[in-house]
Amino acid sequence: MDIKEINEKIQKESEFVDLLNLELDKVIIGQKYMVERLLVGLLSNGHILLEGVPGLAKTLAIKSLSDCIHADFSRIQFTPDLLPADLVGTQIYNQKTHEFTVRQGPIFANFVLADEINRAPAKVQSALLEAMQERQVTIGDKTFKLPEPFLVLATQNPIEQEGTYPLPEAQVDRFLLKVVIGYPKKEEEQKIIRLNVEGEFPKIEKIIQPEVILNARKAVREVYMDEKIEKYIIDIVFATRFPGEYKLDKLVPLIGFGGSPRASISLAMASKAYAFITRRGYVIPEDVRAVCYDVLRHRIGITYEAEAENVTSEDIISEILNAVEVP
Amino acid sequence: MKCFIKISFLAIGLLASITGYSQGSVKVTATLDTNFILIGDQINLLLEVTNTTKNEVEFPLILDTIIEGVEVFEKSGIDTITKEGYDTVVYRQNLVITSFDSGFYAMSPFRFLINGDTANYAETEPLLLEVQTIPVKIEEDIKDIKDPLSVPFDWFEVVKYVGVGLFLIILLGIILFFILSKKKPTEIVSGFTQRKPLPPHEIALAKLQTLKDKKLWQHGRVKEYHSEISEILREYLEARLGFNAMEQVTDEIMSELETRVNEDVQRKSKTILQLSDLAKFAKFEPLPDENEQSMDFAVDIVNSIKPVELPEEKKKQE
Repeated sequence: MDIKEINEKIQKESEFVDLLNLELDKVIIGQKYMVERLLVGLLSNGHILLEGVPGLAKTLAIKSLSDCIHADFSRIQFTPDLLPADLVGTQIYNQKTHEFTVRQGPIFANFVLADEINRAPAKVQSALLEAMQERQVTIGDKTFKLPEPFLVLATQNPIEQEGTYPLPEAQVDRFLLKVVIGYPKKEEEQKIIRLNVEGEFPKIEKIIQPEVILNARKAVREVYMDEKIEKYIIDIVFATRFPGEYKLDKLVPLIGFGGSPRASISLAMASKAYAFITRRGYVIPEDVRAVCYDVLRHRIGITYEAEAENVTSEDIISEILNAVEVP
Repeated sequence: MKCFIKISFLAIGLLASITGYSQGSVKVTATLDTNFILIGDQINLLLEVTNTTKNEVEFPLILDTIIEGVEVFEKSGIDTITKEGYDTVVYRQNLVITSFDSGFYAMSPFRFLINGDTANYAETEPLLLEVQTIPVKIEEDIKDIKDPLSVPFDWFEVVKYVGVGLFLIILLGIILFFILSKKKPTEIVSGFTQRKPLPPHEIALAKLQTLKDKKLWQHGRVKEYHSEISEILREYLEARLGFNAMEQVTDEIMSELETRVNEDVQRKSKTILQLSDLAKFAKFEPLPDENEQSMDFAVDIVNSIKPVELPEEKKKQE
C-alpha cells in the first residue's frame, strides 16, 4: 500500500483517540503518560503491568477506559488465598439437572484489572498469564475463547514487599509494557483536590464500540516501518544482550540477561501503536524511543553488582539509547 | 651380676661395631659410629666394599627401615674410590639412622651379591645397637617448660636482605629503562611534516560537495541522498557543538540547538532533518527544489556556525 494511503487510513482510524482522550480527561487529571501507554497496550493487543504507589489513579484509569468503550470490566483483587478457579471459573454441580455446569470466572471480560498481582501465589499468577498468552481458558473439558478486545492490566505495588510473590522473569516478559507511574504535578494535584472535595464527578459516556478498537488494531499493523527503524530496534535490543559490541563495556557486569526476541517484537508493535496515536502512518525513531523504557525495563535482568551500585534497568536503557546511533 | 652382664655386652658391642666379611678378593664391612645412642639421636652407618677383582658387587637394597625400630633418616649415593694402580676399588655408602624406641636392636648381616648371583655373596658381621631413654629423676620437682630462646639481633642479616632488595630494584629499573628507551618513536624523516587535522567545517563542506557530485537524487536515489545529508549535518553538529547528535532523534537535536545557535540555523536544521526523516522513514519523495534546498541549507548551516578566523591567524597560516 502507498504511504499516502496508509497515512490517510491512519488519520481516519485514529480519530477516536482524541475523543477517548477527551472523555478520560474528565475524570483523570494528569497522568497523560499512563493514559497514552494504556492506549498503546490496547492497540498493540498487549497487556500492561502498572507499577506505582497506592493512590495514583491506576484503578480509576483502567475503569474509566473500560467505561468509554462498550465493553465489560472486571476487577480481581489478588490475595495470598486466591485460587486459579476464583479467576478462570469452575464447574458447579446442578442438583436439579444432576449435571455439572460451568461458571465462568471474572477473567471473562474485555478489560481485566488484576490488582496487586504479586500478592497471589505462583499458581494463580501462571493461570492468569496463561490466559493472557493463549486468550482462551479451559474449564473441565471445555475450552472457552476470551472476548475481544481482551486487555489485562496488572498492578504492582513497589512498597510492602513482605509476603508477596514477585513475578518470575519469564512471566513478566509476557507483559507488553511495564509502566511506572509517578506522582502528579502540583497544579494537577490541586485540580484533583477540588474535584474530590466537591464530590461531583463527571460521568464518563460510552462512546466507542469494541469494533472500532479491533479495526484500529488492524490499522496499527499497517503502519509503515522502514528497514532502518527495524535495524534501530534490533540494535537497541542487541545492545541489552551484548553491550560490549556497542562500546558499552561498563554495562557488561551490570546486565544479567538482555531482551528476548519477544522484546524486539513488542518494541516494534508498541512503536507502531505510538505512531498511530500520534496519527502518523509511519514509524520514526522518536516513536521507538518513546516506548523503549516501558517495553524494555522489565526485560533486562540486572546483576547484584548493579543493585549494589543502585543502577536500575532504566539507567541501562538510557546508556544504550545514548550509545546506539539513530538512523 | 648386673654390672658384669652390662660390661660383657659393651665388650661384644665394641667388637661388633666394626664388622666385616671377606670372600676371596671382595671384602665388605658395616660400621656404626657408636653402639649406644639416646632416643632420637642420629648416627652414621657406613657400608664399605673393597673389591680387588673385576666382579660386580651389588649393594643391599635398604629402604626407610633397616629393622623394625631402626629407621633410615638419610641415605647417600655410592662413592667409588680407586686404589693401588686401579686394581682395588672401594665403594662406600653412608646411611644416617635413628631410633625412637628404647631397647636393644640386633641388625642382621648386610648381604652384597657378587655378579648378581644369589648363591655367590659377601656378608658383613651383624650389628648391635642400644637405644637408651633420658634418665628421669623422680625425686626432683617438676620443672616448667623452658621459654623460647631469643635470637640475637644480627645486623648482617638485615644488611643482607636490604642489599638484595636494592639490587633487585636497581636491576628492574635498568631493564625497564632499556625496554622503554627502545619503544621511543623513531624520528620523522626530515622533509615530511605531520598533517594538521582538518577542522569540522572543512570536512563537512568537502563531504557535501562529494554528495552533490554524486547526483544521487537526480538518479532516483532520494532516500540515500537525504540519509547522507542528515548524517553529514549531524556529524558536523556533533563535532562543532559537542553533543551526541548521531545518537539523538530530530526532536532532541532541535532542543539542543535552541540554546546554541540562532533561529535561522534552527529553522534550516529542522527543515533538513524533518525532510530527511520523511524520506528515510515514510517513503516520501521531496520535490527537486526541496532536494536542492536541503543541500543549500546544509552548506549555509556549516558556514554560519563555523569558527570565525581572526585576520592575524589567517596571516600566520599564509
